[in-house]
Amino acid sequence: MNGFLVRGGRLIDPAQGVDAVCDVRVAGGLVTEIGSLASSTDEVEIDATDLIVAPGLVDLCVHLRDPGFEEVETIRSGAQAAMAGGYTSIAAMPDTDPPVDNEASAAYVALKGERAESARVYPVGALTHGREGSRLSEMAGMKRAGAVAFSDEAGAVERADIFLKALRYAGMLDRPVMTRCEDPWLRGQGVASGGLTADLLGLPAISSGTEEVMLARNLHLARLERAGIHLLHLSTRDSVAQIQRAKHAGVRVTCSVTPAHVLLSEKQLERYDPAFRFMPPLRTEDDCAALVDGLVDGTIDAISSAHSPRGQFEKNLEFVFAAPGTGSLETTFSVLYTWLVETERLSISRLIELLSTNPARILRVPGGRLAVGDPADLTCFDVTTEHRIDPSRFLSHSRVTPYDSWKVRGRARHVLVGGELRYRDYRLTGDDGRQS
Amino acid sequence: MNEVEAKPVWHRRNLLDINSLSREEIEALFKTAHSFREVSTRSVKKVPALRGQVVVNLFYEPSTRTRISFTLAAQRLSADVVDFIADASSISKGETLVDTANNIIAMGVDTIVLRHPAPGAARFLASNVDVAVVNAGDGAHSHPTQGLLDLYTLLDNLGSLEGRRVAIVGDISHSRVARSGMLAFRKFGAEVVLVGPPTLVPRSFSELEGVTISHSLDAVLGDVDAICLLRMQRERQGAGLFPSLEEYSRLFGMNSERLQRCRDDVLILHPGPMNRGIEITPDVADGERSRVLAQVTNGLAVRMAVLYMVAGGSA
Repeated sequence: MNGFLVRGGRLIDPAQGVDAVCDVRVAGGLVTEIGSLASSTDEVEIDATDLIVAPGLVDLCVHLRDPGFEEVETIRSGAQAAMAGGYTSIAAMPDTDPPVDNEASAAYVALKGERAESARVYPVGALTHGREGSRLSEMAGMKRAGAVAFSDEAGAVERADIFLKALRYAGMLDRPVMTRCEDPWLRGQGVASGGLTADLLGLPAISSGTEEVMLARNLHLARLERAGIHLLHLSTRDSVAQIQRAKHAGVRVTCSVTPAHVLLSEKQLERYDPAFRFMPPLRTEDDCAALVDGLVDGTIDAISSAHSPRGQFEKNLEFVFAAPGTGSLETTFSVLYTWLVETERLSISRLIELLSTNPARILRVPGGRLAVGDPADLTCFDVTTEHRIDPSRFLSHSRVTPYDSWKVRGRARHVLVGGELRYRDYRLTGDDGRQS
Repeated sequence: MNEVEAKPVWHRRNLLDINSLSREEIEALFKTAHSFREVSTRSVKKVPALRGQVVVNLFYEPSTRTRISFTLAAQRLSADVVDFIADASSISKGETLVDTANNIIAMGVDTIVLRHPAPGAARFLASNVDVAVVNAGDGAHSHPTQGLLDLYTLLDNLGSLEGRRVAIVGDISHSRVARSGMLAFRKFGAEVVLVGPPTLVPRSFSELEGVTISHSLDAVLGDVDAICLLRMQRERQGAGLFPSLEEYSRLFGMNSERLQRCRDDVLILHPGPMNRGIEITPDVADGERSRVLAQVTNGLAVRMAVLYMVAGGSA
């Protein structure tokens, strides 16, 4: 068998400005032909009628908990969950135990990713040694082992002098620096967005300034250093405005948001359900609206699932003790398609751009485009069948989600990675389609 | 045609906060409390309402008076009472709240009275177990029986709160008592003014209808029907929220000089335990405008009513 003919789907490839029903031929791991194509006997045909065919999704920030917390998630289970979510590439953050801050640990992530034979897994190396924020990590070694970016996620580098040096050093390696924006002192013990809701619930607050102050600092440092920077998990209206101004002023900044911060607000906290505990915290409906505007007008470049798998033991606790974040690789496309595209707030083409084209560009990894000669990282999405989000069917080991039982449309049906059909008819193909 | 029966207004199996209670539910509860208050004056201070039932005080924070109040309330209703006092450090290290509760429930328990430092802990527990849960204080969120007993005491003295003005003075930010009082008084028509330094009063509360904020106790003294003082926790000083207890006391402490500038019939409330000389001077605490001990007595009746109602009793 030489390849595949993906037949009759609606090809949406924002990088080429394509939105048309056509066939895609895949051979030797690459896209070889696009158009109205005749069948050939030595290839497998994939019927994509009524499906959307898009470049596979690319996530620039996921947490896979491996090494160190394999009871919560492994690189394998995370990469498989990525398949189920329509992703063909994911960038694994270094907040593991030990952290990925040297060549050997980056090589471990890359190797385990390869062995999972699911989505491509790229290590993201720590910016500072041990993610402690005090001295630079061996970034060149990590780059040699496959690191595509550097970040001290899931935290920010507190000291401005260290962060400046990290930007400068990473610039030599021509790899993006990614960071969330959070002033740890302003955050304190906070767990919920500052305002009436948190105050009535008695929850310690994280003001929007916690993000905006650090965002301003980071933008200034990037401007000073003329360095490229990617800011993760923006959550407030003012953050979007700051980015917009910085872009106009020529700062080399890109940014991303998570589905939770776009779709959910602090109003959801009233039941103290730990599934809604996020960092940064869920903000106001006005902030959500500003994020949607930013997605539409191009201020925001990408959406990251920010997949943060959690075990029951760390999540099913009192709200203030529960770990922030949830697994989200398997829900991101569905909830965004349902609540942004079906409601006509965002075009499907822009959604693909935010989930695939742009993150691939930011990370400078293969994928994100389906032109002839490109790697065949391709996902067929079923956007017509309604389904209920059912955490018990997740391939991720983490079963907590704020979207439990939500009725949604938009779900990956087939996924090719590098021309291999690794997910077919909603199932992994690797181990005889057995769900693991 | 059948006679129309009075429908019971109270259907709750839990008491988790003030906000979700309707005025009618509170009135039904107070009607019950009123009849229970009389029980405490008898020589045999007991009714058989909860005979055979088990109430557990599950306390993750040190509290003597609230626990004793709940214990006496349960005993006066003839329930069996057990205390489970968890070490505060066991929260982060040891068994989870749900596991602990399930262990207790497995021994046959009808009501859990929970005191816990995490806001929302009572609601979280109630959504994970199927016995009755009574919130005896959850972090800075709510202390509903305190809010109810404060309201009961005010109504007992003033008849109605419509058009009345109540000041709550002190560390509003960290106080479940302040939140519970504020919401309870509002439900019965009182205007509430929150008084304290800006570092200890959430600005957002001024968005609530009928609630205002003042940073000057002197400015509101002559204008209120009741003053609820809060206990000032010394650790807030360490957190840099105010410079010293001396300065706090000078700005926000209630003393006889300030009392003279109040209306003659002003009521002084304090949830206890009092820091005499800090938020309240002894002469005010023991003076004729003080309702501090009435609060304690009423608290017992209110807690009896709460335990009775969540167990399915009707007003």
